[in-house]
Amino acid sequence: MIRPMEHPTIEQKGVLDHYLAGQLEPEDEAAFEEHLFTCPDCLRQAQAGEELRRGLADLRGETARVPTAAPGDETSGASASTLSFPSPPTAPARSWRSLAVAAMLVLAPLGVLALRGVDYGRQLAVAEDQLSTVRRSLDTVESELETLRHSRTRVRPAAALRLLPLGVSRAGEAAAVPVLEPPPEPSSGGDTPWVISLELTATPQRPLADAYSLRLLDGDGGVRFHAEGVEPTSYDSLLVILPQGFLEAGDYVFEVFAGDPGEAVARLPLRVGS
Amino acid sequence: MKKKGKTEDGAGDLMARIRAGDTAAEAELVERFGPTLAFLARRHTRDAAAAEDLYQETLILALEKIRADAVHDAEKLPAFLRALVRNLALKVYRRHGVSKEVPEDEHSEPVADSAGPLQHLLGQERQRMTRNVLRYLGNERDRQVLFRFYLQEEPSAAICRDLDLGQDHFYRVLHRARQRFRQLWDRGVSI
Repeated sequence: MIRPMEHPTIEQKGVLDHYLAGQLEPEDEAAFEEHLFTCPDCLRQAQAGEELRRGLADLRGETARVPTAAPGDETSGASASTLSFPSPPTAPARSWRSLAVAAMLVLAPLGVLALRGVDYGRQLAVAEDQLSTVRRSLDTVESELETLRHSRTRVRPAAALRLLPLGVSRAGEAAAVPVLEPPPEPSSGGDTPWVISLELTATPQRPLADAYSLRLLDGDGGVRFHAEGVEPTSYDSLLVILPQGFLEAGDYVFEVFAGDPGEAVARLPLRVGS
Repeated sequence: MKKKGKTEDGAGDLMARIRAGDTAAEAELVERFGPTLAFLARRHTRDAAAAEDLYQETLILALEKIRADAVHDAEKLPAFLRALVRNLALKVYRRHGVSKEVPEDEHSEPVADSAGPLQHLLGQERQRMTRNVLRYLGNERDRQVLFRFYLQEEPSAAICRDLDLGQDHFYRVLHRARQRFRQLWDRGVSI
């Protein structure tokens, strides 16, 4: 046991790394987590380490899903070994992990066979191209996240983005107009933005475009918001973030254009409650 | 002897002010202990949205308990807060019926997945940053260290033996990766 949890001990014994890997004894884990309340530096390192661990787990899952592709260039700088799995663990797994490890032992050889010949460079280039699209969307979301992070200093349960999906009406469906309801009082989330997801539909005749233009019209036909070059997410939707006080009560319509404004590919009504 | 940290300094006074109904003291408590609580909530959940719920729930309950004079020892405030967030995480875990038994190593994300499009985007951003870290390491052996230690949870001694590494090098790799990720994380999106 490594109590008391002094900072030099933590660094010398690699406590943080063992904590992140789940390899601390319960008493040490408790002591370390209590230490985090008093040590901003350890906390920052733990936050970064935890996100790194999750990122590695994500990448491992992504690698397992990589489909077989034709050989191509190796220009992305990442070779097949970049994301290859290390050898299966030889140490006995603890408790619930034993099943997962057993499954890996069975599946890993199959995975190696399936992944052999995959052009990771090409796959990564495609993935990074998609990610650059995502990053542009994130630029918009990021400022709102900053607001949310600051809002943590206030105790209120409604510190989440409000998501309103707008979908096209299909045959046989009632054409109910989605309603944006403002919070009952400003202190219960009045400063959190609306995230509006505009559903896109693709057909063989009209596949998804690379980018769309948007207009939000009010009841009088006035343009209240417009955007160009909005790229669809991997969920085939366009994300729009609007501050809560941006629209007054009334009826609105989102018009979606493929590329330059011309004929709208979708008209999505929206109502803002009073 | 445990070093007296910032937490113990004035924590008793802070708790007394909260009990007396001082809302500024409540905000101060959130400011001082909130970041660690948020981290622990994140560690016990699968995505940021669930973590945010758990964080809020923990703070509300903590304040209720302190107001009701259920916490007496200021030095034990961190232990109390830590226990609270873990217990609430277990409660949510059971509510979602993931398993009848709570694994001992609950850091393995017990709370149900509530990921939506936004979480998906954030997850992709984290993957991009992790890729950058892997490229920065630039060495297959270093990548093996990361995967085997953080993901497969192999003992460091076994990894060092297999890869013919010294302990110093082993910890240097982990430290370097964490530092690199932290740089990216600080200037990127905190998830």
